[in-house]
Amino acid sequence: MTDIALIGSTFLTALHFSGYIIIGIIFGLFIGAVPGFSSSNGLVVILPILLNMEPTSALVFMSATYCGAEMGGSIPAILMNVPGTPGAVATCFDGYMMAKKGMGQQALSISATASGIGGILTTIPVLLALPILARIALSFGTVQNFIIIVFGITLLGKLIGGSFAKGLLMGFLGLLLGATGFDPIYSTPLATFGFKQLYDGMPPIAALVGLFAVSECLVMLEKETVVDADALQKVITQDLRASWEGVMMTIRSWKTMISSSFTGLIVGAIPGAGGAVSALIAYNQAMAANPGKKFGQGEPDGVLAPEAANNAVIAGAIIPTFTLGIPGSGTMVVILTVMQAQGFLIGPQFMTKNPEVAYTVVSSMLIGNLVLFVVSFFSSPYLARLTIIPTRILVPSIMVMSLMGAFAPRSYLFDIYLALIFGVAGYIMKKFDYPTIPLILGIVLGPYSHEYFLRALKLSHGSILIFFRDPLSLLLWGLLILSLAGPVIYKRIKHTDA
Amino acid sequence: MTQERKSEKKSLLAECTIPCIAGLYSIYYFITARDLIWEARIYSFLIILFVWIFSLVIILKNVWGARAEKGKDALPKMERSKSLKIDKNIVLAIFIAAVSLLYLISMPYLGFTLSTIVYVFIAIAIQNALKGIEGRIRVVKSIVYSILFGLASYAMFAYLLQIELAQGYIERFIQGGLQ
Repeated sequence: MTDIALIGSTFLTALHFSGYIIIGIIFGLFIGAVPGFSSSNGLVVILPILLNMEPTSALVFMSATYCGAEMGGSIPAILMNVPGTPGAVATCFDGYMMAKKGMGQQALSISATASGIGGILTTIPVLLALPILARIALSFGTVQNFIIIVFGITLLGKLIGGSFAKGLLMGFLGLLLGATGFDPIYSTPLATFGFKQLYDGMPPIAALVGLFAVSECLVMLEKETVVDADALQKVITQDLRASWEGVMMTIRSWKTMISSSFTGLIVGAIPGAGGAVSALIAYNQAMAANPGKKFGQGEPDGVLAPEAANNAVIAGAIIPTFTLGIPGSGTMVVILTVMQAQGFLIGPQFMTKNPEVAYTVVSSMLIGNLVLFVVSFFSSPYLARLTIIPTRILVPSIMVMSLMGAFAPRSYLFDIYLALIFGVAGYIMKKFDYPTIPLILGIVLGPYSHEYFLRALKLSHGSILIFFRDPLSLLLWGLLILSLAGPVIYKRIKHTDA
Repeated sequence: MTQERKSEKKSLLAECTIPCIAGLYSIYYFITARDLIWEARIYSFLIILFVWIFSLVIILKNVWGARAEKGKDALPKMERSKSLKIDKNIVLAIFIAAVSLLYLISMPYLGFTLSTIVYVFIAIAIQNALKGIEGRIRVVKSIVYSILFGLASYAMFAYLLQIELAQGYIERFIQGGLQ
């Protein structure tokens, strides 16, 4: 079957998952609207459900949740100046100013329209380009796959968090933790502390639950409620009358809409960059392109640009996740972990073995973005009211749900203890600005990198030069060095010129 | 020693805790991997090398940063802000983590439902106590919520998701009633 025919048939298949898409979008809008709770934490909380779902349904549900959460994050950002997700930080600048001027409903409507259109505009090219990108990824062998993993860890360590050394330490520590248990070629147990439960390797779900959900709960304890009580009054008084005006404002600014969407797509394809970076870049671009407009004072384009970009990021983040096995964002790390737990081969093999699953998920995003617009247009003011749940109720409830998520895949009580240990470690890491995402990515990709490395050495009879022999490997190493040294060199040149 | 100097020392110690733990773990890994044949060992050794390098970079950066600031009157603001002060929030986090641990220990004996009910109630009570929230109605509400949450989560995990949970009195009672 040709790629176009396959895409067409999977689009029809995606329609069968409409129920999952609608529920995923609503769930995403809800968790996005709860400040401090992103799509990644939200998905970790419902892990037991995801692991019991049919694999494709789980992937469709997760991508719909991701789309919904990116839009949901703008609800408290606009109404309370509290970004629901990191991707909604830039939305606060003008969104909250619009709300202060009594245009909160228009701002919410702009956000809904921009998120929906931004998502649709960028999903179509990704859907068409995925077969080509998959073919390129397939030319990668054991050596290249190993370099790609190192590349991903390094890039993520560099882009996430403030300190480069902290990011890389976490990434490499993750690789080491991921290589716990029997080594894939010689079957020698490594760093198991005598626990038989670790012979199969470090359970990534337990690590994920601990680092994302448990640690976030411990941080959440610092607040009485997720938002201030006085800000909640604003949420309750909103209605739907001005929504249509917001849609028209978005359509009038179509140029900003298109440029911001494609900025999001490109940034999303860079591992680790995520919604926050793309939204800020798109906001800056919109400011530069429209010097006459008053950004920061309640300008509709200031809501439109970051919202289009942070939803477009999802389509971009799909590219490295599906074709290379390198997650484009924190939520993609969760998706990748669930894919692994569901028995999918991650990396370039995913596209060869399961092309129909990949296209179905991307096709479902097209439908999802349409549903997102409709659902968020009508429900956003009501969803915002969910932010009144006090943390003293929220924390123990989330703890039980997420700890059971760690228990579900293997039914080992040991995994819950491990999740709690990772949770406390994650809390300490968050307190000292150590990024958790490179650590979990290292744990997920650790067994793969270990296996690729050992296989490559077997092929070369122990010669480490195999990693530097062919042009493609050299190109990848070159790109890795350039991505690390490039910004430093550029800064030096700029400094010398000044 | 002034309070600020103590805080500086504490901050330095806190900043270096994670690299030290990472370093110690990699030493343990190194020990378990040392008897492997060369081909199997090299991967672990390379990763360990990078862990040590980055741990050392972070430790040295913090030590040098503290030394550079020693001569100045004011302590570095960033360092001070990151010091892990034992405040109410951290006490609360420690309590919740400890209660969660007790929850896991008690689960095989009490069963999932009873341990969850007790855990949720205690976690809410601890937060109420440390946040100064009082009232008899609140206590009744949290008891009702804990019971409803415990039963609902049991129904969801055991019947909807078919997860084999720890059995206790409540589970046996529910199953007996259903049969």
